[in-house]
Amino acid sequence: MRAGSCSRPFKKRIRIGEEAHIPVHIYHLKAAGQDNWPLMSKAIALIQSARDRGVDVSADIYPYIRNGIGLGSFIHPKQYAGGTDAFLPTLSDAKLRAEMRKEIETTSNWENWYQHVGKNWDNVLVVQVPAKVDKRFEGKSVQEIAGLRNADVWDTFFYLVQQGGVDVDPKSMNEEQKQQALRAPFVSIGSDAEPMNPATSTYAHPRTFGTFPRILAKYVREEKVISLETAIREMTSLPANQLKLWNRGRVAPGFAADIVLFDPAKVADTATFAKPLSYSVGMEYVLINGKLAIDRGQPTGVLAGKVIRANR
Amino acid sequence: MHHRRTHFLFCVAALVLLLSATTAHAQGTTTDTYDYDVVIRGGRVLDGAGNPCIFADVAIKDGRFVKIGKIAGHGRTEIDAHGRYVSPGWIDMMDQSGPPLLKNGLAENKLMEGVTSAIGGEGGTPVPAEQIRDYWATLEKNGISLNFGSYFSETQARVAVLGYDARQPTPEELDKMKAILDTAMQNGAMGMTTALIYPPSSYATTPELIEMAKVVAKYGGIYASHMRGEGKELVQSVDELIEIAEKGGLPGEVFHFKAAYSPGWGKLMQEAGAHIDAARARGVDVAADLYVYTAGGTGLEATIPSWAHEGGQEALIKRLGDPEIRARLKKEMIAGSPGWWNIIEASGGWQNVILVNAQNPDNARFQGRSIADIAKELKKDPADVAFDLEMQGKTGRVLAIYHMMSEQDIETALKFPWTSIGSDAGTALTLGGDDALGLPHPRSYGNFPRVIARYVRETHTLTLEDAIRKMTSWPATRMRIADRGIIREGIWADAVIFDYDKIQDRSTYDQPDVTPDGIDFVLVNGQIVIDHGKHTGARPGKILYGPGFSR
Repeated sequence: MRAGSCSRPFKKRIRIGEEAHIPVHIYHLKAAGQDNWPLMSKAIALIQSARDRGVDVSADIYPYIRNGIGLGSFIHPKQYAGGTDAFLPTLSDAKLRAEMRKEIETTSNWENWYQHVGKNWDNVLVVQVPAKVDKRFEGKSVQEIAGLRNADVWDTFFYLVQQGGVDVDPKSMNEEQKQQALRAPFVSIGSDAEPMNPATSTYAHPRTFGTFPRILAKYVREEKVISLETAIREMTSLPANQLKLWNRGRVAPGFAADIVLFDPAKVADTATFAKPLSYSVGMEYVLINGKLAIDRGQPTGVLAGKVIRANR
Repeated sequence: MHHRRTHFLFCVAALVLLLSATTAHAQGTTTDTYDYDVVIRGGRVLDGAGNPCIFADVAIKDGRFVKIGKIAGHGRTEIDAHGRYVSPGWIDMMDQSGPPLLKNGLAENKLMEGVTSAIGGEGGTPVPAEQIRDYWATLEKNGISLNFGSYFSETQARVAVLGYDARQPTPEELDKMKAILDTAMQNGAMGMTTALIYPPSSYATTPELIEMAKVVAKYGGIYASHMRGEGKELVQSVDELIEIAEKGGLPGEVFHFKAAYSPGWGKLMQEAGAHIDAARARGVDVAADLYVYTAGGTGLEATIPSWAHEGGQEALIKRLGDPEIRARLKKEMIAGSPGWWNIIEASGGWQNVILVNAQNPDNARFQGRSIADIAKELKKDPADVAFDLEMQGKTGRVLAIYHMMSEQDIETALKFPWTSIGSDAGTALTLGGDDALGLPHPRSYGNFPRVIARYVRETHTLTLEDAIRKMTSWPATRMRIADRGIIREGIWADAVIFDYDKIQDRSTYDQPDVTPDGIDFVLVNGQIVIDHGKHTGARPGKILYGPGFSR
């Protein structure tokens, strides 16, 4: 999405659905960037009005206010026109650094993540660095790393970008927009994450391990943003209905037995940005197509999943 | 090369033309080549689970939804639903059609307001426990336009063993009552009801009801009740229902949830709801249904303290002829009487009790007027007027409407996630006639459309998807009807197709028997019962057997 014009890509996507007569689904609905936070309510109203006039638009969210991105994305994409490998070595040049800093600080006609985080390097959490970089930097903000290096924060930023492969989780969203989205009836839950084994991984966005329990722990139990039944609906029958998976998403005779048994008082995500490789708790049993995939909290190793084929 | 390719494409095109011509021809002449019985095209499909609509075609075959999405094939009947909503059929959680369905299976007032399934039996089945299977068979043989299930009343068992005595059963008598209820459950009753403001139901104590409820629990049935008091004692009454559900080990359903006591408006409903929330939180499966009118309707005899009813209607009439008893009753109608819910007080006085059916041509001129107003004209005490009217009823139960609830409380109740919708009305014997109780109340024709017209479109109390959930999947889930109440492939095709902008209840207290607008099509088990707003005469309804039933 473009900074300051969050509704434009929406309108475009809605138009695609309207003119092609197809349902449109918006991935990880968010208003990224402090200046754009107020746009979430506008985006939701825009989707609702499209729905009212007959366009089948829906969306999903992940329940975290930080996204995950490479630190290199903080530089204008046009700088990479000649390829990343050619570009990174040029970053040693002080004059180029000064030009790029000016571009980052003063222009906004691109996805400017520095402005999205309120021009505050403390909001940019470094979560993974390549082997050649000091491991202590992981879990620290760019501002904090500058302190550790006893260096200027902009020089630290360019240094880190130049190393390549530095991943950050910028605090680009706010809680209010998550609450607004969760309360919208057409918003379901999606993790935006891949399967992962903590034993063989080094870093992940915590959404990889905690998305669904976090909805129940934070937004239902603790903050009471939505009711338990609404949360469950947004994670079951709503996506099933949108995806036209008629035999899933409901506990009833004849339906595929995909079931989660959880303790509503205990269910919680434990993965954090500082320590993301951590399983959620409180999911006592998970059944997939009638077979136990999680038994008393432990994975059984049973591979009962089926490929879901679109049949229409 | 180029030339040959063009030629090949031409051949393909010709083949396609030929094939499509053949297909079109086949569809025009034989019925066997239709892919589906009915296809509903282009509607906004509300699944009933509380989800917002999807935009899809719905195909029906052999009574069930078989495909939802983009439907390429054709239906024998095609329904254009563009600009309309397609909802699962609406389920009336508190229906009074048990007896009249035997006389009028078409149930026009129900179908025309979108009701495709009804759960009757506040007063039980119209036949004794051992005859329930015959009752089902008769309904099936005559044919019914909607699906129908019924509770058995605890009071039926009580009367069979104790008559109209105001006492507790002995252990032996209780065993007999339990055996009767057991038979009813095996014959397909949904569960057990009470109507605890009415004698002799009101004679039943909480421990008796818990013991009886355990019989129902054994089969996975449900306990539903017109509670002991719905006015200032609402919260205690809800607590009693929760206790019966909890100790009986079964779900409990509050019939027509209301706060009928003007000093308690805005408070009692919240408090009663909090008690249900707390019970649900600790694992008691309690919920409620309601009709969406601020007036209730029942017999005028409800204004008379319970003890005077002992022995039945004849005994009551005899007592009402005794001036000394009248004097005592009048005192109690002000001061209260044990085991009696003071519906006059709940209504805020006789000016809010409206005679609607005198059951006597001589008194018909008083219909539509309050008891206070009639008393003024006759220069009599209003209580005497009520006694006289009750005594003079000839053709059936003398009926009144009681204005005793507030709009605010209806909205509060609708917002509880566990409330569903029930009309408390029965099938009318004729289209445009009163419901079979003879009670002209607008809920008989307008209850379900009113939920959408008033509480979704006008007051925004509910979202459309949530209102639909309360009329479809939630009552189906409550009643353990797994194959209805939702639009999914494989589920029975009960559906309502309505125009959101036009849907409107038109029945009023002055003109209660008027059908609503905006409901274009109603399907029951895949058959069209309401077609462009008119009843087709189809009777595709099935019996909704309770959990204890086996063939």
